[in-house]
Amino acid sequence: MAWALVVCSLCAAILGGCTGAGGSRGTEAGAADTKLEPVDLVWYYPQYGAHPDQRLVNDAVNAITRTKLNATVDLRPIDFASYEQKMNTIVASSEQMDVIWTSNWLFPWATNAKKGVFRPLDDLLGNYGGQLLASMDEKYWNGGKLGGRLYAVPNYQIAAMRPSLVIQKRFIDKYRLDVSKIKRIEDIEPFLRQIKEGEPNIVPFGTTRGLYTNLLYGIDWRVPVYRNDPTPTVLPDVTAEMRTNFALMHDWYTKGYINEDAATLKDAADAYNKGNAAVWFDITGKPGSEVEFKASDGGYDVQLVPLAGSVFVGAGSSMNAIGRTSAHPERALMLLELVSTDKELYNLLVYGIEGKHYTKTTGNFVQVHTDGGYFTNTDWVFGDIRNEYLPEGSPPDKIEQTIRANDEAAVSAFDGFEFDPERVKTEIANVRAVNDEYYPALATGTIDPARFLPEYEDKLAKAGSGVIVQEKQRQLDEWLKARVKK
Amino acid sequence: MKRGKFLKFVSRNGELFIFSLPAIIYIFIMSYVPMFGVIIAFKNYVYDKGILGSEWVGFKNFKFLFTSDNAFRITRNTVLYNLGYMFMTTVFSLAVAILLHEVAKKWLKIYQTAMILPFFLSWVVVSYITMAFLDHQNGFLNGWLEGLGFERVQWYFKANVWPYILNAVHLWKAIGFSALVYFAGILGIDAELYEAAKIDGAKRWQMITNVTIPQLTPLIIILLIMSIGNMFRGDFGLHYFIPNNNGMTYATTDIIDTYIYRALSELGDVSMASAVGLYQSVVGLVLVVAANYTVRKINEENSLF
Repeated sequence: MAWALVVCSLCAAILGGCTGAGGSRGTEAGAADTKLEPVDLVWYYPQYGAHPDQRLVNDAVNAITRTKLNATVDLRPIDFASYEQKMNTIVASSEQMDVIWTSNWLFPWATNAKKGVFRPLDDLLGNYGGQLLASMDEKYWNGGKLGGRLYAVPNYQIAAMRPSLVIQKRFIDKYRLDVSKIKRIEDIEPFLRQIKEGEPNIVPFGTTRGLYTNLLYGIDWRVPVYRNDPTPTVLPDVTAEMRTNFALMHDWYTKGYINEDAATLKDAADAYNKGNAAVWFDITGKPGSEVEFKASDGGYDVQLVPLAGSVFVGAGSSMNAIGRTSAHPERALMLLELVSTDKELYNLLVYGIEGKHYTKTTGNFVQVHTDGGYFTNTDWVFGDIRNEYLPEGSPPDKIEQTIRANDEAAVSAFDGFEFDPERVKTEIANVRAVNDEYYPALATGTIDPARFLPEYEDKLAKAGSGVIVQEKQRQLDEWLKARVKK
Repeated sequence: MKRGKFLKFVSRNGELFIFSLPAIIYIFIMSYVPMFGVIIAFKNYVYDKGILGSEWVGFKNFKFLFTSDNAFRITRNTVLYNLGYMFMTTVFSLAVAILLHEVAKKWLKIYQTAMILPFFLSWVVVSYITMAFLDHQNGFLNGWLEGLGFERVQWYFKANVWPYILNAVHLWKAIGFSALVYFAGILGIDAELYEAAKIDGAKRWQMITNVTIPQLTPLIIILLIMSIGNMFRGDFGLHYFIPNNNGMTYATTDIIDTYIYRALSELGDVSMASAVGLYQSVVGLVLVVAANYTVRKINEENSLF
């Protein structure tokens, strides 16, 4: 594809420019009191957009890393929407990559670890990252382990999911909605009707991919198996619960509760970032996300209403790995440890420069200047959020809430099981193509499930979804047997 | 060709060789050198083992394209769209080139500039232009339809309208450049032929059908043979950005390139992607050779090689 080539050479040109600038700065200071050799590290991570003051913040970061590690870091943020694509290209070009952000939902870590993109970290962590290792329990580290080896350092943040509805406060107040009565999806329907009738310019339920998730229906998140199933049986792609869910969505769609363009929107934030959606769905429902939503929905206050108990889903949702092409893996690991233990460095990465991009208010709170030239809104990308200042408006006990949510969340009975897609790659590729075609339209209720769901299932079957289910079952059975032996 | 003869051939055409040197170097570096990489298509490529060190897997990487339920649909779409584009572009740009030559002396520069401008736009930009027309709520088209008393149409949800939209958009973007090529071809036609035709009493239309088109035939055929080589390679930008990569129109917009992109972008499997690329190239090569062979059978002078 000529197109991929263009992207590739473009990146190379831009990145080449960056390295040049960073390198020259690295040598002129040399104010390190450590005996380490000076090195330049490169860190790739995703962001919601480009920050005008990126260079300034990067320089400030280097000032810290130079004194503490005698290293400079070249921060290379990439747009979320193109992160996976660009990283695949960069990885294929074998460029220098010291720290690479990865996760289980974007630029998937397990697949990439298997392809040899990352370095195993077990030894490095033992030798150079004692503090980092001690900062998290075993169950977090499991999030980056594959076949017994560690490939990525989890960022301590919410590791529990609590699928929730997000509702704008102004409408809760206006229509006197009693949020304590909302336990299931269906319970919100009367409210949606009120909005539809009373607010002509407001979308009652804004969405891009509907609100079906296994977590709402007592299905384990790691493997699609009913949590109370005594003989764990892997469920097909289309579950009975999915049928009812899609039917309900179609009903809402025809009643006009759902934004008309839902199926064609790409980014999850497109559902609410115009500020005209009264209710939307958030699968994580993490403590403190009220502030993040307020920052991106046009400034309206929101309230989270959980629809299910919280489930420990592992720390795989945001991690930093060390690249195979890193010339100084031990320094890269030291950088990760520094980010997770140095409050100043961490908050610099998250909030920018004090006085310019944010100001301290009372206690641990800060006032973030959202249009100050550096506004990430992604504390979870960089490191341990327990180090962070709290943005004005978040609950004062946000960090305690997060820790509590993580500690209390139900841990999957299959914790440690990791599906290996190698033998069914062909089927996965084809199933994915089918999903892209049907899932958004069905899940948002845009098309009638009575007619299209059978068609979708038929195509899934032909693409080999049954083969994948069998393979999953086989691996699961083996894993269960091996566990019994232990 | 013997060695001595070849050197003589080169020295006689020295300037022409120097002119073509940049293109030859470009093709050598960009197309011939990387050809070594096709072996990736037969391997399970893993980065840390490298190209040579990865394990051989035979034709396994090709399997996914051919076992796909969509294989027929995407192949059909790719081939039919390319035929459509080839036909439309040739006919319309030929017509425009002739019109430019026959009538438009005065405003020639303006016409040419206006038509060639879209050629330089990227598909992303064009996709916003088409969206301005087709958007369900605020698009021009729906505005006009409503103004005329018709119902609004949800263009992005309707698969059956997309063959027309894509053909129209492609024509709009491609016509300027290819009309320019034909226009240059017409300028190269010997003026004496027209004078002779005039003396014989030919009308304008007769001059077009008996002088211009026959003189342009070799050019038309060369351009056709070259586009036949790309028959299995769809225009990714056009088919990905213009319909907004949306599932509800895949039935009529999905081509091999977009399908591969969707299926493999998450897996990030280099081997499977290059298997498809190799397949498209091989089919392209076969088609070019076959088309050229056919042309040569009919009229040897018009063939490309």
